[in-house]
Amino acid sequence: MKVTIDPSRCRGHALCLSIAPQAFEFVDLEDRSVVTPDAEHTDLELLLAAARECPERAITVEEE
Amino acid sequence: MAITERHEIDFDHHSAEFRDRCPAVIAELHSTGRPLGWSNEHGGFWAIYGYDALFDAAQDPELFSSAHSTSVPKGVPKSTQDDPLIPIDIDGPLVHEYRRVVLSWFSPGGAKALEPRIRALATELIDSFIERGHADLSQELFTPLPARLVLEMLGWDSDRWPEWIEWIHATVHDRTDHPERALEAVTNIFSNIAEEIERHRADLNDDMFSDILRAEVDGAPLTDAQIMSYAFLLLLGGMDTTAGLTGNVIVELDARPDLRQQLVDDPALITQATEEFLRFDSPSFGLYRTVTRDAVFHGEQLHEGDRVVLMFPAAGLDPAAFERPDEIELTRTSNRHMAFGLGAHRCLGSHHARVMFRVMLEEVLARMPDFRISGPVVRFEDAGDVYAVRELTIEFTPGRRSTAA
Repeated sequence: MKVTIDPSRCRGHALCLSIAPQAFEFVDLEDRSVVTPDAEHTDLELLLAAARECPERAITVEEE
Repeated sequence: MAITERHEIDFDHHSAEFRDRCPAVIAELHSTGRPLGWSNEHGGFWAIYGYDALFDAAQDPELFSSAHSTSVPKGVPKSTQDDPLIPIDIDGPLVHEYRRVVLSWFSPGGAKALEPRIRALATELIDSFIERGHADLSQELFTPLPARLVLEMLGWDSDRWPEWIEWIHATVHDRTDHPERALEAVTNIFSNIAEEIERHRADLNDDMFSDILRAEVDGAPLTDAQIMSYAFLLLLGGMDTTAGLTGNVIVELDARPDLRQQLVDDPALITQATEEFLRFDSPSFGLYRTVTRDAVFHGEQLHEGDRVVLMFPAAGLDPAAFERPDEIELTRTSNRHMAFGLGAHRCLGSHHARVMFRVMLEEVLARMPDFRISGPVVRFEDAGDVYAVRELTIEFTPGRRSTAA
């Protein structure tokens, strides 16, 4: 599965980090989250929840 | 999108009615089925309160500008200051450049690192009244804690929090009905920040204010006027809003013993419940924009120069976006609220606000689980910008101090 964060939409709310800490990490000085290599091994339900809860609708999860 | 007849609303967020019936007023706006409306109060303005319309407005800074100047005054009514506050009153890539100056302080990791200090402040404040069996929870806990924290972060004397709080409250809550008081407060704030600039320049160290003094944006250090504006905004954001949320939630829990008991029985629930309280009880209504060009937006014809209030807390109460929006459900699973705004101006202190609120609620429920409100709930007269409690007297079974006096 493929997880992406649109960098032009992410505004650093960081809810994805609290929902799926394995799949996301925060880049402090850019004020935004990025996807970690572990995201592909993360439970699909958690990834979908992170996408659903993102206030900026920046996260996309595609099942391959 | 088709234009319909302009949706006019009888609405003033600075009115006594909004203060006294806030959730009902918002529910009435949502019941119109229209996401925004034009009010003729304060010289005329658009109130945007529908979830999708708020989302679209926050994502379109080219149509909804954050800029503020003497030629394009922002706000309803217009801001007390003539100069923009940095970075909330500016547009474009510079917003991020200015935010970058303090991002290491305001990151999620920065907030987490401060949690022990936040816990210690809460413990110390509660210790000062826990043996008494009664307290004004506003004046003795949720107002001083965020105020002390932001002053500590800045490297300023945190014992002076009552003075700063008085000025900040006057700036926010008196600006509409007593503008002369707000102006006097703003003058005091600027002159005291100027003193801090002088004091810190002589001795730069590792506090947040020193980082602001050292910072370069666009290849140049900030001017003194920019530094004052920046610090002013940090105080405004830091001192009034988290206190407002916490007070609103305490009032709610007093009225709902069942919810309180759920949290007392299972404190681990407080993290998830924090999002629900942010959806339901967020205080920050006064976020403004100015329309940059004639355009059609969600069925309404906007005109260049129209003033707009983005009522982000109203998004959380929109029945089009949330099931049973008027019910607090502590374990609500889908909760994409807008308590911290959206877009480039997302609340810089959101991560700190979450931690401060959670810690204060955890400590109140652990140490005063049987608190009850024993006096009148006194709200700030003007709730239009921040809907918050000024005085909140509670009684509870006296407890023991956690630390030696």
